[in-house]
Amino acid sequence: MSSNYGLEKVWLWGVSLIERLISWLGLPYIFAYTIEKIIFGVALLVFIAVSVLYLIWLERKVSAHMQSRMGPMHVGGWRGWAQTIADMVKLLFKEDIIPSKADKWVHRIAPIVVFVPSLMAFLVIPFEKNLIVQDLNIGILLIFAFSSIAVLAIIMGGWSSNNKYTLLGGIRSAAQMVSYEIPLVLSILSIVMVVGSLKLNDMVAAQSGDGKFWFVFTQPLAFILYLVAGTAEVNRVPFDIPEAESEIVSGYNTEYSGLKYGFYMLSEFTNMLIISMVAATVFLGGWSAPAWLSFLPGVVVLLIKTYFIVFILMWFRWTFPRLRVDRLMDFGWKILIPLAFLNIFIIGLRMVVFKW
Amino acid sequence: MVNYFVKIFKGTWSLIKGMGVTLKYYFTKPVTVQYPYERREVAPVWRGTLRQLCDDKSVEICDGCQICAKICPVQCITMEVYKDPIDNKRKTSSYTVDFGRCMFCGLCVESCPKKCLVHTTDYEFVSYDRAGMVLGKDKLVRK
Repeated sequence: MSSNYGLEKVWLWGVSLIERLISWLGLPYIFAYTIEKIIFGVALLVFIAVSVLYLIWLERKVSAHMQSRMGPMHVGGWRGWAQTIADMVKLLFKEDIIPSKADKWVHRIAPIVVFVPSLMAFLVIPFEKNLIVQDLNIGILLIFAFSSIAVLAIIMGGWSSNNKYTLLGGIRSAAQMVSYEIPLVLSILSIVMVVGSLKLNDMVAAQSGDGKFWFVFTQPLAFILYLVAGTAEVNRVPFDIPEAESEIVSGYNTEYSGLKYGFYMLSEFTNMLIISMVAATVFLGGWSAPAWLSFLPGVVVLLIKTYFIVFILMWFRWTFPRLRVDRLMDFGWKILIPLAFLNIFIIGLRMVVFKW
Repeated sequence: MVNYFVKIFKGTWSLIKGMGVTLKYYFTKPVTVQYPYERREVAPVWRGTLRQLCDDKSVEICDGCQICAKICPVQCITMEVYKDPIDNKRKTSSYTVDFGRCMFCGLCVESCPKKCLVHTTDYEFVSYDRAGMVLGKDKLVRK
C-alpha cells in the first residue's frame, strides 16, 4: 500500500499533544476525546462551508463555459472568485420571512434537520488512513442511513410552508428519494461483497497496492449505477423534479428566504460533495494514490478525485433535460433496480467461479 | 428481453453523444464581450450621434442652407442663420439637435450639400433628463 500521509502526521501530533495535556492536568481521557472531536468537527464545518462556496462558483463557471459564456467575472478581481461570498453576505442580510399560515416550528426546524444529516455523513469518510472522525465498522451503511433522513427534512419544509407548490415538491422528493435509495445501496452491495466489510478504510485498502485495481475498473456497471442513483439522490438535474423551476416554482424551498434558504442551498451542495466523496472513496481508491504519485498528501488525492466526480455531476446537469415524473419512476424501478440485481449476480458468479 | 438491453444501450449511447457535445463547447472560446471593459468595433457606416465637421483651419464648413432642418422627418434640427458683414457669407448663430426626437434615419447627412454633417460611431449617448438630450453648437461642432 502506498503510504502518502501528509495532514495525518500533523493531526496525530496534535492529538497526542492534547492527550498529554489532559493527562498532565489529571482529567479523565473522555475530555481529550471530546476536545479532539470538537476540533475535527469545526475543521470539517469550515471545510464544508468553503468548499460549498467554491462549488457554487465552479458550477456557475462550468455551466457558463458549456454554453460559450464566461460566468461571473467581476466580483473579487480574478474571474469573479468572490461572487458567491457576496451572494452569501446578501443572503445573511435578507429578511427572514415566515408565511403567516405556516406551521412555524416545523418551518423553523426544517433547515437544520436538512443540514445536520449531510454533515453527519462526513463522520466516517477517511480523508487519510487515520484522518477520520470515527472509523466505524458500519461506515457506508451510516452514510446511506443519514442521507435518507434528508427526505424527512424536505417533506417537513414542503409541508410546513402551507403552499401547494412546496407540498408538491416535498412529496415528489419523497417518492424519488425512496425509490432511488434502493439502486444506490444495491450498487454498493457488490463492492461490500467483494471487500467483505462496511468500513470505508477497508474498501480503500482493497483498491490500493500491487495487483489490486480501483473498483471503477473491476465493477464499471456498479459505478455507473451509483453515479446515476446518486445524482437522483441529491436532486440534481436530470432528476431535479422536486425543485423543478419551470413546473413548481422552486419546489420545497419556495417559501424560504434569507439564511434558511441558505441552509437548504448549503445542504444541497454538501450532499453533492458527499456523493462524490463516497464515489471517490469506494470506486476510485479514496486517499490512496499510485506509487508514482505517492508524494501527494492523501487529502489532496481524495479531493482531486472528489472534484472529478463533482465535475461529472455538473456535466450531467448542463447536458440533460429534466425527466418526467412517471418516467423517473419507470427508470428507477424498471431499469436501475434490475440492472443492480444483475450486477450483484455477475459479481457473485465471478466470486464463486473465478475466486476474484 | 433482448429488446430491453438494446433500448438501454441505445439510450446510454445517445446520452454519451450529448455529453460529447457539451464537452466540445466547454473547450471553445466564450463569445462574451465584457462590455464596459472591452467594446466591440461598430461598422464605419454606423448611424450614431451627429457631428459637424470643420475644415483644415478649424473654421466651420456649414453655410446654413437649412436643408438638413427641412428634410428632417421629426424636425429635431433647429438653426438660426445670419449674414456675416465681413465676408458677406451666410453663417449659423445657433445649431441644435434634439436627440430625444432624432430617429437616426440619416436623411440630413445624405442631403448635406457641403458634406459637413456626419454620423459618428458613438453609440453610448445617455443623459439624466430630456434637456440633456438637446445638444448645441458647442457639443456638435468638432474642431
